[in-house]
Amino acid sequence: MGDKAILIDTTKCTACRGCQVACKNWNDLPAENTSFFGGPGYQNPKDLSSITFTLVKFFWSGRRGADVDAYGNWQFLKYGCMHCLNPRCKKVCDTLYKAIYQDTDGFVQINQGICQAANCNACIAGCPFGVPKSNGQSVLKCNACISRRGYSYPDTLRKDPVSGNPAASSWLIGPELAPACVSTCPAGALKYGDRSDIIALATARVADPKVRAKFPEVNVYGDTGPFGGLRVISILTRKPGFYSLPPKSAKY
Amino acid sequence: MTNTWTDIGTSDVILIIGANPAENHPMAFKHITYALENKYGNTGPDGNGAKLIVVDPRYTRSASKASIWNGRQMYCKMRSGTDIAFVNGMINYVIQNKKYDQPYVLNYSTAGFLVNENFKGPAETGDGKFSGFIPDASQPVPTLGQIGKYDKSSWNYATFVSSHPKAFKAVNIATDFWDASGNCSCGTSCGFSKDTLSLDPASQYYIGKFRQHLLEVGLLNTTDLGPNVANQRTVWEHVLLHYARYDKNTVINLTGADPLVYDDICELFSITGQSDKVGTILYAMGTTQHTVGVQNIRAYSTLQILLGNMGKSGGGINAQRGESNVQGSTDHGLLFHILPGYLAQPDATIPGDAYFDRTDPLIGEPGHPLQPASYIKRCTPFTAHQNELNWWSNFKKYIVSLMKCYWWDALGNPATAEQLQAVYDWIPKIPGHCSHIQIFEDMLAGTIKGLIAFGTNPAVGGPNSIREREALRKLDWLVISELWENETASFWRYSTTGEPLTSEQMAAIQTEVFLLPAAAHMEKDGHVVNSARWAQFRYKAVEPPGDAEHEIKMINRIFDACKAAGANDYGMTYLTLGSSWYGTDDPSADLLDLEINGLKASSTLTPVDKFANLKADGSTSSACWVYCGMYPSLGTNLSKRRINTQAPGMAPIYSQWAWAWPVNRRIIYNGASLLPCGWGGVSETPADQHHPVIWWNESAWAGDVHDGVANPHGYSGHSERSPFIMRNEGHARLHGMGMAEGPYPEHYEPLDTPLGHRGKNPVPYGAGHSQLINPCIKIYEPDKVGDPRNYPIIGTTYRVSEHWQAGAATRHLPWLCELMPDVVVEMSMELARSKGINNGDWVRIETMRGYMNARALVTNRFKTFRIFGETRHEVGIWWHWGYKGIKTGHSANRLTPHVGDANTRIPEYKAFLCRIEKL
Repeated sequence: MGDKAILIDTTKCTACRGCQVACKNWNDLPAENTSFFGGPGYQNPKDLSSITFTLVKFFWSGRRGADVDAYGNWQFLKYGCMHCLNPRCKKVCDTLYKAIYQDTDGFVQINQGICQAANCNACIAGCPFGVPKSNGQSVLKCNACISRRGYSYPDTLRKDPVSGNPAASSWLIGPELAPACVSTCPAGALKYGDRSDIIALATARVADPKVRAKFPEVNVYGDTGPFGGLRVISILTRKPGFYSLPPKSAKY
Repeated sequence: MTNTWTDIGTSDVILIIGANPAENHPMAFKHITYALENKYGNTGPDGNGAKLIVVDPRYTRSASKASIWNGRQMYCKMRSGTDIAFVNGMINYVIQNKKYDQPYVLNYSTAGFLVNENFKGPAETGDGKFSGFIPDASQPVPTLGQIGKYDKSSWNYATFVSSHPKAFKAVNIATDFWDASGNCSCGTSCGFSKDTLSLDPASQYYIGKFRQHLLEVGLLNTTDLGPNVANQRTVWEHVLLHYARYDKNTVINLTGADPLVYDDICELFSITGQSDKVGTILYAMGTTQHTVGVQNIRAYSTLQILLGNMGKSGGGINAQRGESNVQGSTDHGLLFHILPGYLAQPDATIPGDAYFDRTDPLIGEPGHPLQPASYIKRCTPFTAHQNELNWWSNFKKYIVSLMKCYWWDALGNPATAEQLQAVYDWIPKIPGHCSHIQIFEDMLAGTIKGLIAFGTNPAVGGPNSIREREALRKLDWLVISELWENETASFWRYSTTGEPLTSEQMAAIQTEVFLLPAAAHMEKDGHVVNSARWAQFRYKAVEPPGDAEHEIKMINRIFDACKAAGANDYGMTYLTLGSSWYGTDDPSADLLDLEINGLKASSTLTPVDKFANLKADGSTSSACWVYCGMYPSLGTNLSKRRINTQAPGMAPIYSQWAWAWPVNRRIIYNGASLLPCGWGGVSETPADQHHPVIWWNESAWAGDVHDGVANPHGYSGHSERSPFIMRNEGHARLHGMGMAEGPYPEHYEPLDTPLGHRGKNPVPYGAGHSQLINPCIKIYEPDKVGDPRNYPIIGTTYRVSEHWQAGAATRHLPWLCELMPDVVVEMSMELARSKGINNGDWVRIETMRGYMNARALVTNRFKTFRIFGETRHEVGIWWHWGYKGIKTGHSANRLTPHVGDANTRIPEYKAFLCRIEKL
C-alpha cells in the first residue's frame, strides 16, 4: 500500500516480449489474430487494444550523426498505461460517471461495472498516450496487476524449501507481488517499488558515465513530467519524441 | 561451455559470434548485462565495465546492445560461412601486434612442441590442403575442389624413441632441457632460460632459435629425430606461417566486414591478452551449422589460447545450447558416435572394434587380439610426458563401469576376460557414420525401416526437409512422442510440400504411425542440464493431461517389450536396465540418478562417491562416469541443492547451487587461471586477482574444485603439470591433429558458395588454388549444388525469441502466434529496391533444393556485402514454420542442403545460395 511505481529501463530491454505474454497470461486475455504487418522491427500487434494491455514497440531511426549509429538505432519500449499522477482520463470521467479511480498504490483503475453501464468512451479521447481501448461494452487498459498487489506474499513460498534461503527477488522492492510484466523480465529492465526509490534508481542510472557513454541522450521520463508525473518511470535512451511520446514539459 | 553462466558476469570483453542470445537465449543475456553493468566489479578495458562485441550477418536484438568503442558501435557484419576468415584475421592481428599472453602460450599451449618434419600446411602445399591428402577419384563436384580424406600420419608431433622402447614421447622443449635453476642445461653461457624464451621471431631468445641451439649443442639428437631435421618446425612456427595469410585485406574481402569496425574489434578483444583481463566467446548454431563448423570452434579456441583466456573466470569458449537440455542429452550418449560420458561407440568399420568372428578358430589362443582390448587401447591415449595427468588414460575404468551398469549380472566382481569379451560383444557396433543426414539417406535407400522420434520434428527441422518428408514415406513404421501432432507425426496427411492429401492419397502411404502423447517439462520430474553442465533437478508442477506420460515410462515399457522379444539373445536377456533392475515399470527420475551416478558391486545399493573411485575390474558401475559424484550417498542427490550464496572476492560460480559435472567443477581447466611458474607448471598466484577461480591455501587448493592441478612450484610434490589434463600432452592444442580437414582452421567456402563461379579460393597460397570447399565433406546430392550465376543471393536461417525450434511447441500457443504470426524473410533496402519488393510483400525464395514463400521484412539491419569487388546480398529466414498449428507457413528447411560438417556432419543450415522474386 502506498506510493508505488514501475520502472522501464530501455537501456536494458532486449525486446524478448516476455512482458507482453506474461500480461496476457496473468490477466487471462485472449490472443489477437495477427498477421505480419510490416511495422518497424518485429512489433505485433499494431497497437494496444481491449485485449492487449502491454505492447513492446519497436523503433528504428536511420543514420544519425557520427559512426555510433551506422546501423541506425533499434530501440524498444514497453508501452501501456503510464498511470499518471493526475490522470486526465479520470478527470474526464469524474465529470460524468466516476468510474475511474486510483487504487491505494496510486495506479489508475476503471470500475468495470460503472463503465459497462455507461459505455461512454470519453476517457479514450482524454488520454494523451492513446492507452484506453474499448471492446464495445467498456474501456479496458493495464491495471498494474491489481490482483497481484494488496495480498501479502506467503513467506513459505519465498524461501527455498531445502536451504531455507530467501528466493531471489531482485525485481521486488516492496513486500507484495510485482506486476506480471515486472516479475517475468529476464533482462532486468523492469522494476517495481516505492515511487521515490524507483526515481532514485532511474536518476542514478542516467548519471552513470558508462550508460551516458553509450546513450548520450539518456533521460528519465515520468518523474516530474509530463502532466505532473507518471507512475511508469522510463529511462529512455533517446529523447521522448523518438518514441512519439509527449515532451516531458507537456502539461494538460 | 568451459565456464558457467554466472562467471560471464566478470568478463572484460564479450564476443558474441554465431549466436544471438538476446533473442534465442534471453536468460543468458542477463549474465551479459551483469558484465556490462559491472555487477562483480570487473574493470573492463577502460575501467567502465565490460564491452560487448557482436558479429552477425545482420543487426540483431543482441547487436542493439553492443558497446561503443572508439566512437563506433561494436557490431560487425560478416557474410555467413566466413567465421574462420574473420577469426583467423583476429588471430593474425594478435600475433602481428604481439598481443598474445606470452607466458600463458609458452607454458600452457603446444607452441613449443616439434611437429613431424613431413607436415605441411596450406601455406606450403599451395593447393589449399594439408599434407597427406588422398583424393577420392569419384569426386562429385570438381569445379569446387577435390573431395577425399587425409592420411594424418604426418600431422603428429615429432617423436623419438626414449629409453623405454615402446614409450613414444613428444619432444617437449617445455620441460626437457633445463637445469635446476631454469637455465639451459647445455653448460655454455648461451643465455637461454625459462624466463627469457620468447614467441617473437625477432627476439634473441626466440623459441625456434632455442631449438636450433639444442641441435647445435647436441641436446637434441639428430639421429633420433630423423634425417630431415632442418625442416622440422615447432607448432609456433607453423602457427606463424598459417595465420599470416589472413591479412586484413583478404579477411575484409572474404567476409564483407566493415574495415574500420574490424580494426576496432581486433584491438578491443586483444586487450584481453593482458593476463588480468579476460574475454569470453559465446557461440551457438550460427557457428556449428556449417561444413566447417568444428573448425570454426577451433579458430575461437586458438584465439582464446593465444590471449590466455581459457580456465579463467569470465573466459573460455561457451556454446549456448539450442535446447535447454542439449547438454544433458549429449552427456548421456544422444549422438551416434558416443556412449554415455563421451566414451567412443565401438565401430564395425574400425578393424580393432569389429564384431568378434565366431568362426575364428584362434579364439582363446594366446596372442589373439581380443576386441575389448584393442577397442580400449584405441580409446586410451598414451601419456606423452610423465608430468602430465592425461585423464583419458582412465578410459578402461569408465567403459567397464558402463558395461557393469548394463550387464550387472553377466560381468562378475572381479570380471574375467571372458566375461568382458562376452559383454563387449553385446554392445551394438555402429556401421560407420550414422548422424541425422545419413539416417535419412538410409531411410530413402530403404535400409532403415523404422524410426523412433522423441522430441524432434524433422519434417520441419531437418535439412532439405522435403527430401526428409520423402524419406518418412519409405518407413514401415514411425513412433513419435510429442505434445502435439506435429508435422512429422502427420506427414501422411500432407504432400511433401505441405498440401492436404485426399483419403486415396493417404491410403497409398504404407507407413504405420504411432503417436505417443508426451508430458511437457513442467508435467514430470527430471533433470535439465544447462549449457554450463549444471544438473538441476526439476519437480513436477502439474499432472500431464489425458494419456500423456513421462518418457521414462514410455522407454522403459519399450525396453521391456524388446527384452521379452529378444529372449534368446544373451545380450538382451542379461541386460539389467529397466524394470528388472528397478522393480517397477515406472521408475522415478531420482532412481535413475542413482543408476547414472554408479554403484558399488560389493554391497547393496551403495553409491560410488566420485569417479576417481570407479574401477576397471567390475567392482563398480556407472551409467555415465562424468555424473559420478552427483549422488555420493543414499538420500543425497546434489542436483536438488538450491543454495544461492556466493563467497565474495572470487569468481561467482555458485558452487552450492545444484551440481555440475565433472565433480562439481564449474570452470574447466581452471589451473590455467593461475600464472605459470615457468615451463609447464602453475604458480600459486591467480592471474586475475579480482576474481580468482582457485588459489593455494597453505596446503591445498581452495575455490572451485581444482582441475587436476598439481601443487604449485615450490611446494612438495609439484610436478610441473600443465593444466589441460584431458589432452595427453597436457597442453592446449594450437595444432589439432585429430580434426578431419587439418590441424589448423582453414577458410573453405560453404557448399553453396557465392565464389563458385570464380573457381578460386582467394585465401593467399602463393600461386593460388582451386580448393573452394572443405575437402573432407560428404556430398550427398552433387546435382543440387547452387551456382551463384543462377542463385546470386546468400541465404541463412535463424530463430526468434517468440518461437521454439521446429515450432510445434509454440505455433500451437495463441499468445506466441500473436507475436510472430507469419514466416518472414529479412532483406536489405538495396535488395528490396532492386526487386521491387515492399515491406510486407509476399515473396518466393528458391534454391536448388526447393522453394518457399514468405513475407518480406525490408530493413536497414541487413546490409549488402562487398565480396572481392562484387556486391552480394544476404537474406535471413525465420525457420520455425510448417503445415500444422495455429499459424502455418513454409519451413525454411525446404531450401537447405543435405550436407554437413566434415567431422560431425551437423547440417549446413546457415549458408546457402538462393534467388528471390516478388509474388
